[in-house]
Amino acid sequence: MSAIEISPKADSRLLQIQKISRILKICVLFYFVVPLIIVAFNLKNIHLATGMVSIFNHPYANASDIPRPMYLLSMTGTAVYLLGIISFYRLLCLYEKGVIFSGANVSEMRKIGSYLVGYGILALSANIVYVGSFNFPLVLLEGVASPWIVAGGAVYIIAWIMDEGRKIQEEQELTV
Amino acid sequence: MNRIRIVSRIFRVLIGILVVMMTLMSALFFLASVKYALSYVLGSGQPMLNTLHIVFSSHQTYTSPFNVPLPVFLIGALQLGLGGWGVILLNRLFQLYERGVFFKTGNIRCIKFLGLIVAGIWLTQTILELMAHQKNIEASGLVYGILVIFIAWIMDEGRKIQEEQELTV
Repeated sequence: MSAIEISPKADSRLLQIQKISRILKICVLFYFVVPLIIVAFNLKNIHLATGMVSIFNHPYANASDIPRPMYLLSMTGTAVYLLGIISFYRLLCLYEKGVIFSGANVSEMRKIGSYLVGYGILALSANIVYVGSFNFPLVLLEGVASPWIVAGGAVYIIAWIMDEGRKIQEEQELTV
Repeated sequence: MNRIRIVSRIFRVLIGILVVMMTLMSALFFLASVKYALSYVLGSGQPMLNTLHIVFSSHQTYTSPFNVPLPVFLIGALQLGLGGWGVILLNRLFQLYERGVFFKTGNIRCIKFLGLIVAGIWLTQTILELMAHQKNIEASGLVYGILVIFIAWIMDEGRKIQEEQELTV
């Protein structure tokens, strides 16, 4: 979207979008930077949790009860979560530049959809590890009904449809 | 355009199948829990306490439908209603995509209401947890709902900017 020839009303809308995107970017940075600063100042006092621990909403009486696969799932889940936040931050950067309906926006939204689905699959795996058995029909039902997987799938498909719609509109504008 | 129609239709069919499956499963589990609860009351058997649970939230779990307090039941029903409305909106959104409508107010309204529903479901979950005297409240559901509303708002503003630019000489 070109910012060179914009009507005044559209310009004020763009400024509002840029302002709110900037505020959200600052909130996202605070959300990560403040806890990191607190951890940095209390590095000597950091230790493994002594009380109840919850991973993917599954409670364990203490950290020593957590099986190794659950640690791996938890680390992967955290990585996926961070990647999702980074994609969202990049989306906010695009909105701040006034880019609203471009291929880059769609790409970031698709990534967010993929990360949501990935997180849902990890949560499903955590359920299997916690229960300790694999009951295929129940696992399939849980997977299909998982809000993460459904929402992630919906976000991915909506982003793809928006991209196709954008390409159709561009082709129509270029057609004489 | 055909690809969009096909994908939208497939997604709508999948949502429909999911709704039917979830409704049937919920009805079956509910009937099974009533049956076992009645058999326990009548003294002809024992309820399967370890395998059948009615779960409203992580700290609101019941083994018999007769043990569910009315406020919990009502809030659970409200949550289910919100989920159903969300599915209807998702279906409507994909119906619009199937018709070739991509960036109109109808689409944006659907996305905005979906954000409100996500926030509403978070609210009902929080109320249920507070009723179970739990103080560890997660705000993630509210944040996701607000973010969806924010993105819908940005798309709406972007749409208005494009329309105003088209009308500007």
